[in-house]
Amino acid sequence: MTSAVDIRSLDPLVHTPARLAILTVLSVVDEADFRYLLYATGLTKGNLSAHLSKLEQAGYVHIEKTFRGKIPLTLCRLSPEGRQALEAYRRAMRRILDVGESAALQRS
Amino acid sequence: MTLSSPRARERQTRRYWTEDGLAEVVLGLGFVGLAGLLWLSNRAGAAQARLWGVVQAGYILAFAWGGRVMVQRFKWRLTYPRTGYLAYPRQRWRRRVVRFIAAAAVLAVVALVGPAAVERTPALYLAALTVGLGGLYLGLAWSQGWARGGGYALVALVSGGAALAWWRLPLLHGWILSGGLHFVALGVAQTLGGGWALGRYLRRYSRPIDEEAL
Repeated sequence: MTSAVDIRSLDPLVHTPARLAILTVLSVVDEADFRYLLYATGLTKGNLSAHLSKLEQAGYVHIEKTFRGKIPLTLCRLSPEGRQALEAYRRAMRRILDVGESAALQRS
Repeated sequence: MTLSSPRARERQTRRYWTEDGLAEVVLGLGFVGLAGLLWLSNRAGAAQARLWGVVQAGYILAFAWGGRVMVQRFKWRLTYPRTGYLAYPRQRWRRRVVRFIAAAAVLAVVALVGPAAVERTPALYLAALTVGLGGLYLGLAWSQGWARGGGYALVALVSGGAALAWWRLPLLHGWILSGGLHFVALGVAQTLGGGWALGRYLRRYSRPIDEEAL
């Protein structure tokens, strides 16, 4: 079954609601700090921290700790590999949805 | 975690710049300042029209740069400690050059041709201003799902229409008054709209978030 094969081939690092949310937000910005990701995703601090660490280990996200004046900033940026992974995930999901839709149409 | 579609999340991120209303307050005050300049140029008389054209172009240029710096400073104090910091992707070098040339051309027209053109065809000037500003706000409202932008587009179109009607009345310096009122209407609408958005934002996010070490 084509769709089953496609689902198995989805990148498990991206195929998680929390990490998909983080990658989606980072895909439309140059960089965002930890606070913004907390606000945009609605995750808890610990959860966000854990997901970001996983994405950093995979090389999908660059994390830089810096200061702006006296304000600490944890800046996150999507790497080219992360962007490619997100694009590949979107393409795969689109294919799966198309296959599902045409199968439903054939049934009806 | 809030469940949103990736597209909704993208739009929410693109709207972040306007969410706190700070940019609107600053831009609104800029429009009121521009109306003040029009009024001053009217008092100075026709002999100094070209000089005032240059002053207006200089004001627009200074405001485009200074307004951005001002909004960033306010954001560092108010927005970023509450809901975080983000930077949008910088435009490519070639696109930045094209935008700079386009802005310089518009400013040159404002400074050199504007005063004479306005004297000859004020209705055309007002109509172009109305359609240009209304279209700009409508485009932003449409692309970012920004409801207040739609409201500003409506204010731009209505006040522009009213300004055109006013200009037709047999009043002295009709176009200066009508053009000035058009800018005042837009400026006040944005200052009030932005102030309302800022108040709502500050009530909603009353306490800054502590920075979390990863």
